[in-house]
Amino acid sequence: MTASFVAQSLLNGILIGGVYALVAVGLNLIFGVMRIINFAHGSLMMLGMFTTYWLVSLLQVDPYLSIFLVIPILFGVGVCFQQVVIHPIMRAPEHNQLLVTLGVSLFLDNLAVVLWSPDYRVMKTAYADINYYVGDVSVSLVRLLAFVLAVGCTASLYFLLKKTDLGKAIRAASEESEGAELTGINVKKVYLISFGIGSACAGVAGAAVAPFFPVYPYVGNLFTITAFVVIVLGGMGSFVGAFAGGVIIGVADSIGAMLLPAAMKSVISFSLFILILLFKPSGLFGGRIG
Amino acid sequence: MDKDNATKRRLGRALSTKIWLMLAVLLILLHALPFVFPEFVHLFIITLLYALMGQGWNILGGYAGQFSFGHALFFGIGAYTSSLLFVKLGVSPWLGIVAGIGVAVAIGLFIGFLSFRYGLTGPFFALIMLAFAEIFHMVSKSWDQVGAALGILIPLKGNSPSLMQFTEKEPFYFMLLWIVALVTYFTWRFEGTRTGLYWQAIRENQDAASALGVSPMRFKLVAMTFSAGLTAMGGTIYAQYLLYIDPDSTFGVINSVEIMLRPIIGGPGTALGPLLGSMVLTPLSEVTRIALRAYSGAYLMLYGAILVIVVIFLPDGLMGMVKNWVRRFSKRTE
Amino acid sequence: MRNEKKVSISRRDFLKNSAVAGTGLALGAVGFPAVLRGAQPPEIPIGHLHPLSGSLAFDGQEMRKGLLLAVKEVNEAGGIKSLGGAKLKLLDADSEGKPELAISSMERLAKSGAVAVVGCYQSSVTLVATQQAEKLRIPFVVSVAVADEITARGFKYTFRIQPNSEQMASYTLKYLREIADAANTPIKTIAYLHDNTAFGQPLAAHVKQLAPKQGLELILDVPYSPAAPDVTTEVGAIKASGADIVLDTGYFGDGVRVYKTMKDLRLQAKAVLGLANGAFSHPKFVQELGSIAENVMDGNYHANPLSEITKRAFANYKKEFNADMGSGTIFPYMAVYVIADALERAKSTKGEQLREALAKTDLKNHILPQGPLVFGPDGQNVNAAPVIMQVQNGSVKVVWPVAYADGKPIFPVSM
Repeated sequence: MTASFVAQSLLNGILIGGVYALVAVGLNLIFGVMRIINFAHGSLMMLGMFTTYWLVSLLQVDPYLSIFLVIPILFGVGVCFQQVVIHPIMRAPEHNQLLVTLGVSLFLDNLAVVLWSPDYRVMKTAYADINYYVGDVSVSLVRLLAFVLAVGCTASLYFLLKKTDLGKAIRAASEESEGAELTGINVKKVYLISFGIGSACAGVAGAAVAPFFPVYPYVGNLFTITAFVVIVLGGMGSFVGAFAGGVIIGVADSIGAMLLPAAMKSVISFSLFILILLFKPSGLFGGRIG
Repeated sequence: MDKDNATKRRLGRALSTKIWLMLAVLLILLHALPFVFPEFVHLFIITLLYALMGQGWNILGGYAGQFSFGHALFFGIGAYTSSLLFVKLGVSPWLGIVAGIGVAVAIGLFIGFLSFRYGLTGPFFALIMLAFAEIFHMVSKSWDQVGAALGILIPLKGNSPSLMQFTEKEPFYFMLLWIVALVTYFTWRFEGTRTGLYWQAIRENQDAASALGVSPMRFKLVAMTFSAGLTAMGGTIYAQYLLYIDPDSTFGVINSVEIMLRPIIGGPGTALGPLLGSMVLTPLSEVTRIALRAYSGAYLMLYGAILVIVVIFLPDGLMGMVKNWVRRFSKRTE
Repeated sequence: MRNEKKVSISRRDFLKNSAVAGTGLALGAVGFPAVLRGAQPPEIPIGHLHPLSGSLAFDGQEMRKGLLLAVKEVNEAGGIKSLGGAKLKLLDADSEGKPELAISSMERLAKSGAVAVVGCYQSSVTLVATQQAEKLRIPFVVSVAVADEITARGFKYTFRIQPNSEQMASYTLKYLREIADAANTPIKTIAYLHDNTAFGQPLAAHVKQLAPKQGLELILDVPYSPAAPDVTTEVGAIKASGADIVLDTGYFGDGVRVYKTMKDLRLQAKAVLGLANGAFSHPKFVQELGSIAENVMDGNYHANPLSEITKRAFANYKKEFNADMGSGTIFPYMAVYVIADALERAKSTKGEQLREALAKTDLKNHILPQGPLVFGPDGQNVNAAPVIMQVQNGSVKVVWPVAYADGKPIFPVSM
């Protein structure tokens, strides 16, 4: 347990935590606006990963430029998702909503299996071989870029919500949908856009990790659960919370991996999840969107 | 006499002697099934097994309204408890099944107590069950004493009924047939009892129910007891049938989904729901697996689509559809 | 009167001709059934169970290719001559890497008439499949799976050609010590990164127990999950231990990930040595990682590079699949030959008789770096042993023991 080992693990934890945060931020938006717990969020991220993978492998697009395509594609998928599946159950009991998103997740993951086989794929990109060294600690370029992307997206989303008219509409619709209707806000449209934005965030997260994560249909499951843990920890509806939560969970998993055997490394984050659910369900920063 | 009939009708629970006779005959006929279709015995066994565990889920989720996304927890506990007792201490699985039920119930009560005490409902309860199932999943994968990732291989003892091992499949079929028949019957009877009615009250509106003096905590825990026990029973039978268990095939999330889907598709909160659901889903998964051999994850795609369609259009599951037909049919014959 | 003689066929002639024709027909029916029935010579189905999809799909498909090549070669050489030139036919079954699917797969193979089954690449799946084989009384020849338990349960229908866990670990450590001594390099400590399944765990137990015999000490043992996408922390722990030798056990995909991570973290050691590693001595590993794979070592099963049969097999494989034959692929290939040899001797496809013949196997024409292929009473190949390989100049060479080597070890390795 040398200093550099601990430093390396913590650094990696923080970097991947940024990605968890980005995934959680999308989930958070959807929950904050529509009170829908989207079990299919990881599947959306998986779709983002595959989109990037195919763009890079078949068309030799730069993995980071591919994000400009991933965003509209996943936005579109999110809008369809909302329109076809979520809209009919907006008033249904909460557990039914969870079931529907679970169904979509099963469908999407296994559609990917049928289309692209369950095999693991590794995206080949020159970026993945670049490492910087601070003493004995290696900083992988692609992980660093993933973190930067995550921060960038989260910040953009925060800006969108706080400073733009659309953002105001979204916040209004989430706080008091009937009142918002009365003031002329097309709540249905807001919901569609929010789901689209949330999905696009998941897609960007997928594109961000594709250079250093194997791409396969079930990869989303890892992130869905983690995203739930993050937003429960950070407080559902809080942006700062989602980001902080992401980094905390990333670090917790790293510490877990240092101290516990391989398969147990998420025990720490799951236990945190349970404790927060029981004793402080509003999370660390819980509240409305913001 | 009139008052009795009126009550019965109000509870919608009248079942004439004729129908009972029909069901009894059906049960007897089902005994012949493995001999009429010997190639499908495995399929029948899996159908019944998941119907049993689905009924377990149904009691907590369908009747008492507490949806759990982590029932694989009890499945795994049942499977591991009886298998460990057998492999390490030579305890017969007939005793092991009871032990498995005991451990599952204890853990279920623990989680239930904590969750209900701290007011976890709906999706949060679903998720906390999932979290506990995953923790058990991870621990069982890492702990050498329970076989870690390799799991437990139950030694072949040939045909040995006292050790719940049979060289033929039929004994498992008959065992499960009777267990499922009895469980379904008792679940149906339970519906009209005080406990059953209180569950439904809690499911519909917990606050109203407690305002009327029904203690939600107590009844939810009772539901949890039955739920955990039945599912754990399935776990032991599964272990003895396959003679091999490992963390992924028992505690894995996919099992929680499989167990849960049976009653949800079949009809949550109905006695026949889990059985009906299993009769539809199990053959579907087998056929898809064989037809699309290379990518057998495809059956899950169907599961997903069916789940979405049922939840949106058939919230009472297939039983709801059946009841509608029966109602329409009986209206026409009036 | 004259016309009658010419036109009518004498009764005697007619009878004679008919007799000839009839006999010919009868002989034909017996001696050339294929021709008369218009069918192929009877086929003998051989089943196999491997992860043809999922995270180990690459490895599973390799197994399948080895089987296909051997089946093709056997059939082209005339099939099973003692059974009328019957041709072998391969029946696929996909385990998807899941042990619980082994049970229904074995039943399906049995129902399709498989006379023997080869499998399963993973120890966990193999343990379950062989139990089924024992129940169904179908001979099972392990292609690749290292756990000792596979041949330690008193089963009669399980046979394994590759070295088991104990043989792998003990020979590898022994050869490691010999190589280090020959290079006058002191080595003492080992850090072992391995997968946490039935593949890596038993190996770790053996290494821990056997290391002291070679004057070595296992100071750190880090299991990881082969399906885990990220192993940075695990590799970091190995790096932090500062051990002389880093051992690594894993399948192909995770082997590549692990090694790349080792390089990214700039792990230092006197050598990185795979133990039964699915990646380190695989030609594709070298292809994927290029020059950074130089000098990686692996104590693993392999073909005997000095044997003519090996060279022919490698050439045929290259021609058939346009790729290099990996070490693992040798075993399903040999499994088919072992089964074919047993079928010849058994002159029957019945389970019990085939099993008897397999038990008496004594094959000298094989491509393994060992003496005759003989199964012990537990079904394990008695003379099985791994060799030490090293990636040198972009190709995998056997460097130890000298009897089977086609290269010299570079030790210690400069990372």
